Amino acid sequence: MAREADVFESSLFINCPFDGDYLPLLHSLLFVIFECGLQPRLASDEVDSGRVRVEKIRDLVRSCRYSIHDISRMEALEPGDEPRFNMPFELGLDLGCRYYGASRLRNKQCLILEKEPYRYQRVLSDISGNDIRAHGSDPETLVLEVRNWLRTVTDTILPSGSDLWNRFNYFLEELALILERLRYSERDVQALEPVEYLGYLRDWKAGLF
Amino acid sequence: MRFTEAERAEIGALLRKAAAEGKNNIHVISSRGRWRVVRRGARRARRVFLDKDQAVAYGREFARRLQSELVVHTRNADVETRESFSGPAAARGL
Repeated sequence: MAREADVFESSLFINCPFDGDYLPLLHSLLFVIFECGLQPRLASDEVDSGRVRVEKIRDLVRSCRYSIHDISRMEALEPGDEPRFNMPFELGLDLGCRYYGASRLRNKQCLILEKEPYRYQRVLSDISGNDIRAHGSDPETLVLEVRNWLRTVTDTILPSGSDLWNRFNYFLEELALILERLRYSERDVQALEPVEYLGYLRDWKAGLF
Repeated sequence: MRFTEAERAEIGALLRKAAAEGKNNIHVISSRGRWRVVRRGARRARRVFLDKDQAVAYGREFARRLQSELVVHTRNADVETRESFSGPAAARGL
């Protein structure tokens, strides 16, 4: 069984939306994290509906050295809807954990992702001093930004950004074939939950592809 | 979701088969506003195009010569189309 400290060092908490529009970005995000040797952790991993969501988030924040917060969807889904504030709230919990937590938590590292450069300055100016990268809602840019950040904070040799992007394309091709053979409809594929996607990614990473 | 051992074995077998079948495939991949034609496993792109249709036409010819498959991806990396040029009919140019 893995030691708690090892799990902490290799875990990365993802704070992002889970709607259909964001799914291509989430899939590329999960892929690049896996390929760079870390374990992505999401609040949706836990299926215990008896637990209050904020408790799950608190435990995730405390058990992951790394975190990625995508605040690009800090907006209403449809005109007239209310904007969503879960992402900045969870970002606040993570930063608070780093500032007020025990010694190992002070070494936590986080990347904040946005859609456009400097948009956050208008809506969340308190984080202006943090490292914030824009992905422009483009999965390839997201892969490159996350890869470059992980190269810096983990100080390990990683595959190049273009190699990772090619491999992500190959992975999706093979995944599409698998799901077709498992008789998944197009609708089933579109509704693939992150936790199920992670299952295929784990098998792929384990050398089954 | 947690897979059972039997499901895991079935998926593993499918994955190995897919990998073996796809190792010579030609891919058209979006990259930084351009379209790269890449043979699976190659370090560098065969050709890079500004226009997707040109990339697909070039990739199709390349796949035909290799009696392989052409896999065209979307900007999000999903599979858009797949064309096979393997098998006896494809080898005869049919």
